[in-house]
Amino acid sequence: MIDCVTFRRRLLENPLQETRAMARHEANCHTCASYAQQVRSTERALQDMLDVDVPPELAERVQLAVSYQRAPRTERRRPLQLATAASLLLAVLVGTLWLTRPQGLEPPHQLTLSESVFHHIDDEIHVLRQPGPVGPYKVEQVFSRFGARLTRAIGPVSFAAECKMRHKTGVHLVIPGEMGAITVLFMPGEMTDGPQAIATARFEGEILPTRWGSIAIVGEHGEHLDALAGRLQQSVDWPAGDYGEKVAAS
Amino acid sequence: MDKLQQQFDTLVKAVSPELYRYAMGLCRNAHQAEDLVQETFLRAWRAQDNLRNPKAARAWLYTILRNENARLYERQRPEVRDPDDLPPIPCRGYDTSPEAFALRQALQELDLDYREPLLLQVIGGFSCKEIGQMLDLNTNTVLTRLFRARKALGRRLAPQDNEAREHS
Repeated sequence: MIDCVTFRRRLLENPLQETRAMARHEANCHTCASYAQQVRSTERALQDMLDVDVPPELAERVQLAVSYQRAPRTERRRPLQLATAASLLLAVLVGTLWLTRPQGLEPPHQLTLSESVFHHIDDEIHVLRQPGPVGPYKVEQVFSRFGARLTRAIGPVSFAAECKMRHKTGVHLVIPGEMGAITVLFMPGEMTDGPQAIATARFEGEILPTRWGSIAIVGEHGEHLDALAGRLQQSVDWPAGDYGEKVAAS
Repeated sequence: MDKLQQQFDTLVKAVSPELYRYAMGLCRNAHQAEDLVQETFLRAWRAQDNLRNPKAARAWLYTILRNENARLYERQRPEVRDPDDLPPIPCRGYDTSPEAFALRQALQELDLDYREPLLLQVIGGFSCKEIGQMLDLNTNTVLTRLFRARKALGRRLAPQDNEAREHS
């Protein structure tokens, strides 16, 4: 028969494993039996404490992140340098036109919503190359600044930030797509009458009306955006109302 | 969908809950725990040749998560955190009794060398031999650490009571 020291050592190594020798000792030693009862009670409490709830759809989110890694990467149509050079050229051109404009004759040009969307993408073209993925809680955190929340997983996100839009701040996401990166802008207060298709030489997409503003979804030509649009509209619960002006973070 | 991909998806569904619990036991932060699980599977997929043996895959995933936690978070934090600063862990039937609070505090104060084998045994159900392989320790060292971990927990939970028992 094992002694008390051996019994207690084995008990503490694994309280749920009981050998015959341990059972015999426990039956004959009142003190050790009482000690074993206490240790097993603590062990059960420990198990309960560690049995935390797992976030809903954790496995699905992991699978989505992995599926993004599985997908073959498509070559970007234009290198970053070319896009940057184009942006600089555009900036110089706009600046020159602005400086040489006839003074006092025309009111300053008010950007349309679609123009402001493409300007925003051009201004932050570097974020399309963010490798990501951004963790789901970081994404939720960005939305939470607007009182919005995600009701279900929206899939892999490679960039998420609060950004200055045309009039107010909103949420800027970049989501990996089949043809390249997809830009999604959540624009509170930008009310539109209906869905609006928008396009440039490189990008195409649409602006979707919501009860709190609008969502712009823009990808490279040939990108299928419908499924993503549906998913985003269902996944984001954005409160209606006035959100005030916030400081842009990107 | 090829066979490897199917196996991987099955593995994600089967193991992600327990990996999340293990991550929570290590870092006690729900955000970090979820990021750790995601990063673990992303790394596992990149090294998918190691997934040919599904039996070994589970232990391998735990090892990746442990290494990721050390790489990403453990070095950024002080060794011991004040339990009052820790966010509450949402769990089934969350127990707010003083005993449960004391147990959470005691576990968190446990040195990582002792906490890790304990978590692998309680959450993962691994044998001492398997834990030894995962932590690069011999089996006797694992047994010693498990023994000391529980002894320390017991001491912190009821110091006077334990002392009395040990002297009796």
